[in-house]
Amino acid sequence: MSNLTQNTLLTPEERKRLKARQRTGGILKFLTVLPIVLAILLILFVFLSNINNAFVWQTIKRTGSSSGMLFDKKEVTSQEKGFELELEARGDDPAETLSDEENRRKFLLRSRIDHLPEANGEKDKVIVWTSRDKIVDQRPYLEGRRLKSELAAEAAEEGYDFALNPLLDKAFLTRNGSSRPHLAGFRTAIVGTLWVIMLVILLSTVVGVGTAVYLEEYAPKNWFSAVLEVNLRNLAGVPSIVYGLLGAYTFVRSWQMGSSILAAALTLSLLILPVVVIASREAIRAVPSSLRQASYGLGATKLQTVNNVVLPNAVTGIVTGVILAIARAIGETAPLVMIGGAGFISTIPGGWDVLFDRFSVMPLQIYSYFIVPDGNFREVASAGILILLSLLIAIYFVAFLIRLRFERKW
Amino acid sequence: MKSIGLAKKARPQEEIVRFALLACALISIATTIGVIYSLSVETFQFFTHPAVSVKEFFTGRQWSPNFQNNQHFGIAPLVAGTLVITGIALLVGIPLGVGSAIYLSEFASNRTRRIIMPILEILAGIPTVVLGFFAIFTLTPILRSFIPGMEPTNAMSAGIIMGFMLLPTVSSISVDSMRAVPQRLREAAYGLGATEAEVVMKVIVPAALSGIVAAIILAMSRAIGETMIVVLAAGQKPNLSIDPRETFQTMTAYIVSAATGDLEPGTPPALALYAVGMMLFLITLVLNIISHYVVNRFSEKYD
Repeated sequence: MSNLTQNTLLTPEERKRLKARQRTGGILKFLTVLPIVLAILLILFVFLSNINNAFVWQTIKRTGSSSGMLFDKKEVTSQEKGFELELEARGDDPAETLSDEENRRKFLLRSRIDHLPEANGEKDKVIVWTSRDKIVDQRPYLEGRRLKSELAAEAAEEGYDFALNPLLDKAFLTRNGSSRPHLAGFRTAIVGTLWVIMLVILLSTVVGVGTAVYLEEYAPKNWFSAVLEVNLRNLAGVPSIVYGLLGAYTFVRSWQMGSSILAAALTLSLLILPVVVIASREAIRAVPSSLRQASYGLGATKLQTVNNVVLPNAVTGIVTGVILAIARAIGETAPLVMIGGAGFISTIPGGWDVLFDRFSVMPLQIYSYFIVPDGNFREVASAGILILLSLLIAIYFVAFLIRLRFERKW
Repeated sequence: MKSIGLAKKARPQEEIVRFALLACALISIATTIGVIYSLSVETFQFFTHPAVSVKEFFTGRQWSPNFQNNQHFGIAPLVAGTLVITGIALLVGIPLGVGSAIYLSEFASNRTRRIIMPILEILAGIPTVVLGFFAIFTLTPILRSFIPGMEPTNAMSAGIIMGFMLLPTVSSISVDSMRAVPQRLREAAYGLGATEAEVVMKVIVPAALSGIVAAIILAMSRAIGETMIVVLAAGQKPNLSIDPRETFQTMTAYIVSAATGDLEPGTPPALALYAVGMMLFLITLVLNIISHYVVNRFSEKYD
């Protein structure tokens, strides 16, 4: 192109016009790259802002008798050791409290062990939180760092501790929900998500792939099949909150399941069903019909052809489709709010009647951190968001790898 | 030769599987019936309740279901909230979505496209509750720092973030329709001396317009039905206004607030939840049908 602009066949007038047209092209190209840059920036920004929020500088008012008690990390060789030190500092007998089953349970419920990379100007301290401690002030990482000397001086004046506390740590993953931000854990939400999603995978795969096979391999060309098609297409566009209303009315109230794991799983399965069906149909349609003809030619029945030829060749596409749909189900919040999923539950779902247990799932737990008036939960939410996002990214990565590794071109 | 009669051999498993698969397919029909039924029952109860008038619901300008002495069920403020936020979301989402689609379809190399597509998939996969948190706690403070009169919860930050949420939807459908434009149209345009920009703006975009319009309508339907972003970032105050700096309650946000508040079942505020849900369902349904109609009716066919 550039040699054209130097071409002597063009008059100076034409040359100028050509240059202007090419400049417009450059501007357009820039304008179309911009959205992609913005999208990438947004994703990064979402991650960074949550990391910034999840690593907080806290001013802690310790009201227990162990006030001001920070232990050296070297001393606290195990969680047990930490609790012993804490009880000792409070003037209790550690052996007595921790050996009695009931006292031990109560103590563990009220206390949480936390590793602080920096506290009161010293490195590597361990703190044992109790429910009596209070967070006086909590700042995101960058802001806290900027105001570090001021905040530390203020804390020292009042006799408070000032520490850098990564909220996203082992204790967060292994503790149950709590109404106190420094004792809050994500375990109930993680377990809840696992239960619900296991059921969703089961239900939506069976029904979704079944529907796809029916539509692609069995359905005759008549008005009924046409209705099925149109219906699925429209279901795909129904807002998720409407599925929540369906779940609340039908599963929770009419069928009296209550706000249970089963009701949540049924609602989410119906929600992602159209996505699973559409992805599976595409995968099945991609299997060339010559393979089917060959199978029939060998005398195979329809069922044998579907089982031995169509499904094995479509499995990559089906699996990727299901995985992506599941990722969507994991992040859904609104329908579960509608069917009354709980924000804070202190017991882990389990046992023989697990299907009818009350539940919380990760996005619901994150939303519940928003509803509570205690402003210090906002940072806890960021820790939860980071876990949820990491899980989703991992799932997307797996789907990406499967597609890369197993995809077949015909 | 004597026929061995394989065709007549009874194969019960074939029929059983056929029926099992048909049953699976029927579940989607049952879902639709379930949605319509569960919405209709309570919506009907709502409209037949003595405290409610159908006329007020559609023409009233005040939505105050929880005020005992001044109870009004005019859906206009909720619709206003939904439309203002959807409008902002589309203003942000359409240029972003169509722009990125043009880049991916026309300018990007195969390699670049293979890298960028999964990134957009990740953006599409960010749960909306996470985006809502981002809107209220990160974007809103930034907007408030330079726009005077911006309320702590507002339509603008919810709308902007929702626009980004729509980007992957608009983009992927638009890319599909642009790539369906035959290569020879591009070549013909280049042959006539058109620059890249001219090919895109005068050939590709017009040829793919039906797909792009369908994508936009679908995006609109998604914006109207989106819940968590507006619940977190746009607030919970019914507001008949068009000022994007103000707090709004959308239809979806009302549904959430009514479902999480302790409302007596069977009272008008609790029933209103299903009436609003019905409106939402019908609006998005109509938009989806229009979107498919546009694709089928106006798409350019090339042999």
